[in-house]
Amino acid sequence: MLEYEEAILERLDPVVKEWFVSRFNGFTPPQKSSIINILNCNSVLVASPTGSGKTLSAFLAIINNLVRFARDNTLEDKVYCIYISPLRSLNNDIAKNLKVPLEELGRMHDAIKKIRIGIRTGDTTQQERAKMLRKPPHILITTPESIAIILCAPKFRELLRDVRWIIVDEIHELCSSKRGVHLSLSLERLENLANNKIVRIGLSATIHPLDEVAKYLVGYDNNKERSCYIVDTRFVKPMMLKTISPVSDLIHTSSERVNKRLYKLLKNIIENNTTTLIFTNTRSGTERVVYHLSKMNIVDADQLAAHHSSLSRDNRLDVENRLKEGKMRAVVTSTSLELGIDIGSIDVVAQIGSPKSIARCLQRVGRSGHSIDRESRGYLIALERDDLVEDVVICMNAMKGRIDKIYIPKNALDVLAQHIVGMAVEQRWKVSEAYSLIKRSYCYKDLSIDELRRVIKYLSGGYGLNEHKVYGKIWYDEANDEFGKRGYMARVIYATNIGTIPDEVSIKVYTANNKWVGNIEEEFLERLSKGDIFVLGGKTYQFVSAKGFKAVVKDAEGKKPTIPNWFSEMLPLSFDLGEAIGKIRGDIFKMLNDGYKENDIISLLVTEAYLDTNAAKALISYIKTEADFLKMLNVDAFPDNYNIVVENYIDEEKKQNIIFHAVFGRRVNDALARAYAEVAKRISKRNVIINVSDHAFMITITDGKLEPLEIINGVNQYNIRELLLSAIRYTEMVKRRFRHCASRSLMILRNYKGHEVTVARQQTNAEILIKLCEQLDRFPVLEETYREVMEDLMDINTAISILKDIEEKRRRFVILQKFDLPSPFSHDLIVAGYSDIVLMHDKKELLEVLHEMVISRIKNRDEDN
Amino acid sequence: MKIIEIYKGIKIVVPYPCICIDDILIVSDTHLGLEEQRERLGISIPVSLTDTIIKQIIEPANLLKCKRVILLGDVKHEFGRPNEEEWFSVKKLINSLREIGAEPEVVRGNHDNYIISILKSMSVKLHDPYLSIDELFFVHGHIDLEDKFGNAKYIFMGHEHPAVSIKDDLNIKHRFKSFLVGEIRGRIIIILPAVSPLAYGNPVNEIDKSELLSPFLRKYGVDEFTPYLIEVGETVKEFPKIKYLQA
Repeated sequence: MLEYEEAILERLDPVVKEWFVSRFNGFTPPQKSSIINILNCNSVLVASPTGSGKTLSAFLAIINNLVRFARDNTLEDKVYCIYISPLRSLNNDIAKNLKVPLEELGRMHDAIKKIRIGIRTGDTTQQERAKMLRKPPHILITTPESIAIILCAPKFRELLRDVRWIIVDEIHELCSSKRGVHLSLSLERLENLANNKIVRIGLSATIHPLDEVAKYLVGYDNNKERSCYIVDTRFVKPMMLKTISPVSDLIHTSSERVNKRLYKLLKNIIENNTTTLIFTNTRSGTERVVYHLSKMNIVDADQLAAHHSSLSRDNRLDVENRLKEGKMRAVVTSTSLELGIDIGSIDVVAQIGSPKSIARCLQRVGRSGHSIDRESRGYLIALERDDLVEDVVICMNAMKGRIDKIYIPKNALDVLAQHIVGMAVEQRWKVSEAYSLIKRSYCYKDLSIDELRRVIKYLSGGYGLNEHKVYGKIWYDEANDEFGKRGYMARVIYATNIGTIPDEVSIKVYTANNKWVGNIEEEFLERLSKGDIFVLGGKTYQFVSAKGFKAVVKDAEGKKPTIPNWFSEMLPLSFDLGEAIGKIRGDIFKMLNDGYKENDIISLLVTEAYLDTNAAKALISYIKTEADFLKMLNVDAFPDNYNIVVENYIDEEKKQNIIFHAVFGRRVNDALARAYAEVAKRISKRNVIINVSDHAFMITITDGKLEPLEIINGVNQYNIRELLLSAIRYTEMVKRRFRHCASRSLMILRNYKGHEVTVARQQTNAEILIKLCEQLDRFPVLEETYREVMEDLMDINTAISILKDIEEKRRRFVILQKFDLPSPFSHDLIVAGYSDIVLMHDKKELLEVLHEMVISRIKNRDEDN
Repeated sequence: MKIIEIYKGIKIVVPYPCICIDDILIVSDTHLGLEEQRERLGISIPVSLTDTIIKQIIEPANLLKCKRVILLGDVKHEFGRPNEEEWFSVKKLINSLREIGAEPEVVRGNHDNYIISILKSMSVKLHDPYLSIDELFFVHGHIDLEDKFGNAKYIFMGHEHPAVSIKDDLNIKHRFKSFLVGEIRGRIIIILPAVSPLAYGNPVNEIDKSELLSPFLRKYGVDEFTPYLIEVGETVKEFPKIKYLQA
């Protein structure tokens, strides 16, 4: 597979060429396309699996240039290349991986020893930073946050004026979050600072669509995409994927038995391989699996370990090092080993539960077979019915090279606010000039000038109505339409409050015998009273007491939660994957309906869909039970990607549950569920409970006698935004997101005048602040909160397109008759407990309702006594 | 406007955080300028609260044609010596009241230190540490003045910023500001909610009596008090005694 490419070798400096040929057997596929492009000063996006020589595909051309400068004695004391990655550990890795070739090259030619590499992150000391100013690194390795700070450092930024290359590593991880939005503006500010056009290099794992990610990387010039060459070698590495089910029937088998078989399966995999990497989706899951495996004594105690973000840094580093050294037999992880840190050679990846997206599955399985010609091998082990369908569909699509779409947030006003303050610290700006810079970022291409003006108005204190004293973080001159910094504090506020990751105080949760079971957030704790039951890491607990940063609970396995977990750590299923699941559901149903024999379908699935016989059996029996249920009600439609089957289930407590079977993923279902609940609330004038999963959603009305059709007809593509906005106002979720957005917008500072703002932040009631902001005209922080909730956390845009599909008959509702049993597809949803509530907003009505409740509670208590 | 008469002649003016007796209006804990203090701590409140607060006092005073407005302390949220500019809100409150023919008086609270000279310069009456009119006794509440109550029958207090939190049948907590009305040793105690939108106290139905702010209330607790929950600008609603509202 590897061969030299003369055209590239020819372009290399003789020393670099000699070094490369002595070290490698040839260029890997991504290297073949990227190196020449970078040498030609083209921006490049490289999408390729781990172990395919990505690092050198980015760095070889750059090292080549630096070597040439060094040998020509034209290497100056300034930064030529900036490498940005989301992880400090990855930064350390890269530094190490670059030092080796530079040392080797240095031994071949003395001048090359002058090339310096430097890391700058939040960990870098004042001293090191000062040293960096005197002797700047030619290759600067840093994080998105640090680069944003450096941009405002008066002296250091001068060293960036001749930057020629920027590398963004793990770009797929960055661009799908506000961190990436933040970085996109830093890149434009850097481009604006630099004397010459900067060559941008993005390194990505297997994602889709590459052209959008490329646009994110390079941005726009005068509304025109800058050019970017895409190196697509996503599928160069051979891959083996398989879905396994521990038992042949996931519905009727007890969970003890499923677990027992699971560990037997894992034992087999571990014993048959040198090193196994096991992914669970949650930290608590990781702990559980390690605990059980260690009890089984399959391998020596020091050959098995957990790795997740709640563990100490030393602990994690130790595991990583032992992995690299080949000393581990099995490592269990939640998400922390997903990214590209070098972890040596892994033979096989086992994924417990569903990875929820095809891209994530490929990324995780891609950690095995750590070199280009070695096959990646992965087993997806399903423990629940819905997991099973997901795993099967993920396997089928992954093997065919179909990947779900990545989502890149746009027009985030809180991130914009941070940058405006940063830009104001740099210099004085005409609003129009700032606007054209901002619009060069992919994430702000469609920002309106009004939105920018409102952010400037907010930052300059312009919303302080009727107030003669203005508090502003920036200064704005309306007459000249210019803004700049206000006061000496601006720079410090910017440098000490930058970043997009909300810092939350987490409360450690213990059982009475002092066993740590997980963390909850402070805001969640505030909501708990003694006796409340809630879910943490997939298990149910009853709240006992709390003191300081510690909460005590007791086991409440099997009890129904009384407090919803608004802040679920569950990964949402991607919409594309959901659609594929809908389709396969429908296909199998049709085969059963057409009279195919079960055995024939099983053997078809085993050959076509990469799953074992157990898994195929379990899948068919799951679909068959639903089909039988529907047959009983004389319905011949099936919940798939065309039919949205709606149940009208009245439970033992006479509550009405309207259940929608829609495999759109939780982000879409959340938006739809709340809109329908809002309609139900308006009709019934009662609080409505919602229950959301990736495969379905349910709205529950106490003592409800609603017509499902009336609720369904109440939502359309034009009014869903208004309904949703009304449904989420004053919810816990919005209050929490408001705090995050206010913090990112520098409205609530984390650090001020040299100390952390904690007490005052705690005393600031989000609900009151929201109410105050609502008095203002389209206040950016509040607008951003609603945008984030509706577009990033949920997916209102896809919800709208689904409603459009329905209106244009590409999908349809199939409403079942009223029934006192839920269908099998609803069981998981009902057991999970409720997700949230769409509340009455009118405080007058609310107080009346609360009063009634209190009175009846007192009455009941008296009767009990 | 609706009136809830809690005792003969003692009225809650719905939906305002005020009590009215004849031509006297009583309000507490306006904490003018609290947003400026937050600003200095690194938290920007984008709206000025001065006008909101003044409105909550002027409207009922105007409707009921009150001649006297008793401010039960913590008028200005002082945090160090305020500069000239920061007296703006206090002056505005006093002038707005005088414009409608209501004369303000202040009962001194724990935050009222530097304000004294301003009150003097504007000839506003200051009562330190309490004011008593016949059987009415007005005090801020940060010090225990039970031994001064004498023959007073009705005690009006602020300082506590009382709030009550109620769980609905879905276990979601809702927090409201509240008046508290109760009887201690033959006297009627009336505690007013804070006028300042930012000043919310701990929910009194969720804390131990030792955690109450007012030393007088700490001695007796508020279990036997009746709360009147208020959503300012919308409604006031009487609820069963605090002891029935405990979680």
